[in-house]
Amino acid sequence: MSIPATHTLLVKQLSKQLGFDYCGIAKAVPLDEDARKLEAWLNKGMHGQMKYMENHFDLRVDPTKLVPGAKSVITLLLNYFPSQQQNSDAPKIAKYAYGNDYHEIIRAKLNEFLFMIREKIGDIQGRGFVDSAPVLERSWAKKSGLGWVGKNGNLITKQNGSYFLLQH
Amino acid sequence: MELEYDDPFAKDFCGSCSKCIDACPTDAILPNKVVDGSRCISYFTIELKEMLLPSEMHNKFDNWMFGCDTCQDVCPWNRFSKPTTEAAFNPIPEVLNLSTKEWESMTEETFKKIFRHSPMKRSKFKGIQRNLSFLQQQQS
Repeated sequence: MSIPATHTLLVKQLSKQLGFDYCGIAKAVPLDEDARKLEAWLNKGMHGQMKYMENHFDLRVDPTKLVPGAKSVITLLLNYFPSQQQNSDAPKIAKYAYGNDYHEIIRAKLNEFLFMIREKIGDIQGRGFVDSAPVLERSWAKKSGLGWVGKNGNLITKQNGSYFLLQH
Repeated sequence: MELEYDDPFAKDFCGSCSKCIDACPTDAILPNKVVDGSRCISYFTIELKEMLLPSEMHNKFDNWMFGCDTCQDVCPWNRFSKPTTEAAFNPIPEVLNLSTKEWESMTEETFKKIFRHSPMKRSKFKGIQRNLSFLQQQQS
């Protein structure tokens, strides 16, 4: 087996071990089409007062600028669909917010992921992102074969729908 | 590091379905896969920092206090959702059990204590109160 093939197998095994539901890998290249779409969306003001979405446009659309020297983008999905429902008379809360904050949960997992990869492969460069940096999550998920972007803008997997958190 | 790359997902299984577009309470889902974030209930209830929510949205929030799942709840593909196996996502009991009245009478101290590790921190107590009173106004 070639070195990239061996490393790929290891990365996918480790992602499972850490409890991620899906793992897809794409080559780190600029997202030209997404850049145009994002620009048009921002120009129409569809981000409202979320000014932070305008920040770091160049980094957002090009992972090799966000992480200099990056070769691969690994996209991981974590299912958050709850098994219980709210009281029917309660004010409604989005399901991702039923439990603990996903930022905290996933950041810890990504750190562990990088640690385990370095332990097995050596001192590779890499950074984990969960909302913390300007990454076009859904585009990467589609690019790495995990699903399609639906009309509602969510990444939809054919196997288990869309109640997933995306990280890289 | 160099790895082997997966093939991109080439298909789109939305087809002619428009359930999410039809169900969106604020008509935030536009044609051609464009979502107007500035009309989305998740934006209003979480990201918008102003204390006044736009009056044109009155009666449109469908009792959503923090975020909104309507476009996902109606998506036929979510019939295939399976419960999470991640224990940290298990619901905080109060999320499931509190009534509207209990939410409305909650103190800031209690909110901070119960939702210490919850994503609801992002709205802060003030934001949750704003959203609750907006929902209340709708009913009157």
